[in-house]
Amino acid sequence: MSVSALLLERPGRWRPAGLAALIVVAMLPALPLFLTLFQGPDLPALKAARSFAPLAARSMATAAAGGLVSLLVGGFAGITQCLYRFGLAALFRFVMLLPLVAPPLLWAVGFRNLCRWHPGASFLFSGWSGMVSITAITGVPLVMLGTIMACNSIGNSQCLAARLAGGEKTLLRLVARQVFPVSLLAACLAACLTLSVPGPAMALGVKSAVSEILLSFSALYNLKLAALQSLLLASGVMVVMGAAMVFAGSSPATLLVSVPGKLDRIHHRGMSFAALVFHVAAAAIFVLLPCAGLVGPAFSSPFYPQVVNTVARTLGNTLFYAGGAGLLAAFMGILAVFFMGRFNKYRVAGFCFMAVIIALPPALGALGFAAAAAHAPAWADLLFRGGVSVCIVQGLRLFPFAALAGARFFASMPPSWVYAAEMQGVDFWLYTRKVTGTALLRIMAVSFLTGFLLSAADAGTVLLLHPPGAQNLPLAIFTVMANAPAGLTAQLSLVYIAAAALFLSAIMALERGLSPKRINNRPG
Amino acid sequence: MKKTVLFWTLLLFLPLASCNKGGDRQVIVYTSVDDIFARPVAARFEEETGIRVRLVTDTEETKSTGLLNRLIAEKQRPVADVFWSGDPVRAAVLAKKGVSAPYISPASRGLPPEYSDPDGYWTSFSTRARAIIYNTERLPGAIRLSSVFDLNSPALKGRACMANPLFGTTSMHAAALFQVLGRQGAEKFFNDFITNGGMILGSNGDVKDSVAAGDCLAGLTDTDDINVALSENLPVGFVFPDQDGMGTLLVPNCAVLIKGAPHEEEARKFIDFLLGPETEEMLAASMAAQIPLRKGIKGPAVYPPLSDIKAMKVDYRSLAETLDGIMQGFLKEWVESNS
Repeated sequence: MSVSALLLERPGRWRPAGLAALIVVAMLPALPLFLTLFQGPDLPALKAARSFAPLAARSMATAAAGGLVSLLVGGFAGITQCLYRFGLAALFRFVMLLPLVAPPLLWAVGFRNLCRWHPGASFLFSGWSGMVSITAITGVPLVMLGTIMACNSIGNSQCLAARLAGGEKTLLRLVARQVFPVSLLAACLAACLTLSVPGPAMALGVKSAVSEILLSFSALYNLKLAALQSLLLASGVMVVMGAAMVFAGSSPATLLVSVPGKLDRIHHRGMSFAALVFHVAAAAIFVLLPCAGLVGPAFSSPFYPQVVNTVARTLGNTLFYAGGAGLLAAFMGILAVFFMGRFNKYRVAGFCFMAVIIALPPALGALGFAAAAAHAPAWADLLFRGGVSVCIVQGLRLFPFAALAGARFFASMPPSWVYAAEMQGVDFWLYTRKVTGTALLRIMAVSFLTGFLLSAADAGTVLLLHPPGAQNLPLAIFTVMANAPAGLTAQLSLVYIAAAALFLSAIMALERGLSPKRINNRPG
Repeated sequence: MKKTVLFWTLLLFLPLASCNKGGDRQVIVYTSVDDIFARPVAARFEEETGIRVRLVTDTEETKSTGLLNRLIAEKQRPVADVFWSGDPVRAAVLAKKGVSAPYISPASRGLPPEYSDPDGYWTSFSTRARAIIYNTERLPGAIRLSSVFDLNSPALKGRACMANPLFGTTSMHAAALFQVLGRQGAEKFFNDFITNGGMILGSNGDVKDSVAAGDCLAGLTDTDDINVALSENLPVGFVFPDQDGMGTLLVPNCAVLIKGAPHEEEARKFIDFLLGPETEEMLAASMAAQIPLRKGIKGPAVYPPLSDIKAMKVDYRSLAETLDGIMQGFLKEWVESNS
C-alpha cells in the first residue's frame, strides 16, 4: 500500500489518539494495583495509610530542598557551560553527568562511609540532610542538561545584543530568565525521581515514604496498604509536577525540541574564572566527595574474588533487564515522536503527560505487576514472573527520555525534505527507510543507551519483580550493603561507577556524531 | 549505515544472549540468611551436586518477614522449593499455615533435637546468638553490661539502640522476652527502653554501624553482625547477656521443605547438604561466625562453644504464636508510637 511521505507533516486525529494510547499503555502496569483498592474497604490499611501522610510530606519537603539546590547549582553550571570558555569544561560536564547514570544508592553508600571515617561530615551527609544532598547529586546533572538544551535554543545574535545592551550581567539575567522554566521543571523532576527510590534512605538509615511503601509490600505483603501509600505519594508528585508545568507554560516543550544549535562560547576573564571555580567546587562536593567515601574502604581490604563473583553472577541479568528496557523505551519513544510530529500542542500535551509518567514512583508499576502475578495463571508466568516483567515496567517508564531525544532529532530535519520527496514521488516507506531511517537508527541508539543506563541503575523495580536468583548489580549491592564489610560494598559500587562512566562516554561520543550539521550533510 | 545496522542486530540478540540458562537441574531457595553468608554455601552445593541454586535473599530491613509473607502468598502455587530460615520462628509459622512439608533428613543425625520440630517440619543447624554490642572507645569503663536490662540503665540514657522489633531476629527476641518474662515484664522492658531514650533503628546492621560510629554506646544485635564489625577492626566489643539469669537467646538456622515444591528431589538434596557437618563448618569459618549445634565441629574463634553458653529456655514452636499475638498488638503500637 502506497502511503504519502507527507503523512509525517500532516495533522490528523490519529496523532492525539496514538499519543493517548501510548500514555495509557505506559500506565497499564499500575492498573492492577489500583484495582486492589476496589476489593472492599480495609480499615487497618486506611488507618496506616493516614499515618503515612506526615512521612510523605517530610519526604517531599526533603526532595524539594534537594531540588532547590540542584536548580541553583545545575542551572548556573549549565548556563556557564554554554556561554563561557574555561579549562577542562568537557571533563567537568562528564564528571557532573556521572551521578545521573549511577544508582543514587551508591552515592549514599559513599556518604555513609564518609560519615563513618569523618564524623564531622554527618552534619551534611547523614540522615535527612544526607537525603537532601543525594537529591541534589541526582538533580544537578538533570538540571544542567535541561539548561544546556534550553540555552542552545538561544541565538548567538540574541546573546550579542544582550551583551551590547548591558554586559555580562544583563546577558546572564536574560538567559537565566529564558531557561528558568526548563531548569525548574528539571529540578522538580529530579526531586520526584529521588523521592521514588528506596536505596538512599535505607543506606542513610532514614525512614522515607518510598522505603515505607517497600516495607508495606515486602515485609507486610499488604498490597492494599502499598497501593494506598503509592497513590498518596503519586498524588503529591502530580500536584508538584502539575504546578511546575502550569508555571512553566508551553515554553519548555518548545525549547527542548527546538532545532539544537550551539552558542559561541567566549572567554571572559571574570566569568570564565568564576565558572571554573564553581565547576571545581560542584564536582568536588557532588561527585568526588562521595567517591572518596567509596575509594577509602575499597582499598583498605581486598574482596576481589567476591567482587568478581558478584559481577559475573549479575552481569547477564543487568544487561538483560537494561537491554530489554532500553529497547522498549527506544521503540515507544520513536512512536511518541511520530505521533507528536512537529505540532506544538501535541508536544506540550505529550511531554506534560510523559513528565508525570517519569515522576511517578516506579513502585506503582512494579507493585501492579506483582499484584497481577499473584492472580495470573501458570501460563502467564513468563510475562509476570520472569525477567521480561522487569524490562516491561522499566521500559514503559523510561520511554519519555527516548521520546525527548527523538523529538530533538525530528526537529532538526527540515520539513522541506518531505515536500521534496512527495514531489519526486517517493512514498512514506521509502522515505523512512532511506532518509529518516538512517539517522533514526543512530538516534535510537542514543535513546537505547540512555534507557539502558537509567534502567541499569534501578534497584527498586528489580527488587520487587526479579525472578528467583536473577539479581542485577545494583540490587546485589542493595542487598549486601547492610551486612557486608564496607570494603566489599565500596568495591562493588566503584565497579558500577566505572562501567557507567564508560557507557556515558559512549553516549556522549554518539551524540557528538548526531550534530545537526552532520545529519544534514548525510541524508542517505 | 552498516555499522548502525550491525549495532542494532547485536542489540536485538543481547537479551537472548544474556538469558538465564534453562533446562538444567535447579533448586529455588528463599533465605532470610544474609546474602553474603548464604551464597558461599549455595556455591559449594552447586559444585558438589551440579544442581543450580537460585537464591532469593531479602533486604536487611524486611528480613525474614518479607520472604515469609511471600511464601504464604505463593502457597497455592509455590515458586520456592526450600526456605532456609535464619530463625526457627518463621519456620514454625510456615508449618502452622500449611506452607511447609515434613522432611526428616538422614543428614540431621548428630544435631540436638531440642532445636528442631519433632514432626520434621523444620530442622535446625548452626546458630547465632542475640548479643549486646558496645563501643569500646566511648563506653565508660565503669559501666558493666551483663544483661539486656542494662540497656535501660541511666548510664546509657539516650545512647542505647535496637532494631525495629517488627522484623527479623529482633522480633523473635521480643517474642522470647514475652515468653520468658511474661507479658507485664516484657512490656515493662520495652516501655523502659523508650523512657530511657532508647533508639529504634532500621536493622541489626544499623545497630552495629551506630554503635561502631559512637552514636549509640550499646545495642542489641546478632553475633554475625558483631563479627563483621570485629573483622573490620571497628571499636566494638560484645557480651552474651544474662548468663547469670534467663540466658542468651540462640537463633539457629532452619531448613524447611516447601509443600508442593516444584523441584522436590533437588530440594531434599539441598536440605541434606544444609544439615550436614560440612555446612556447619563453613558457617563457623565464614564471616557469619555461626556456632555449630553439633558436637565435635570446630566453632568460630571469636565465640565460645555452645556448651559454654547458657541458652535462654524458650519453646521455639510456641514462640510463633506469641510473636503473632504481639505483632498485631503491643509491638505494633509500640513501634508506631515511638519510631
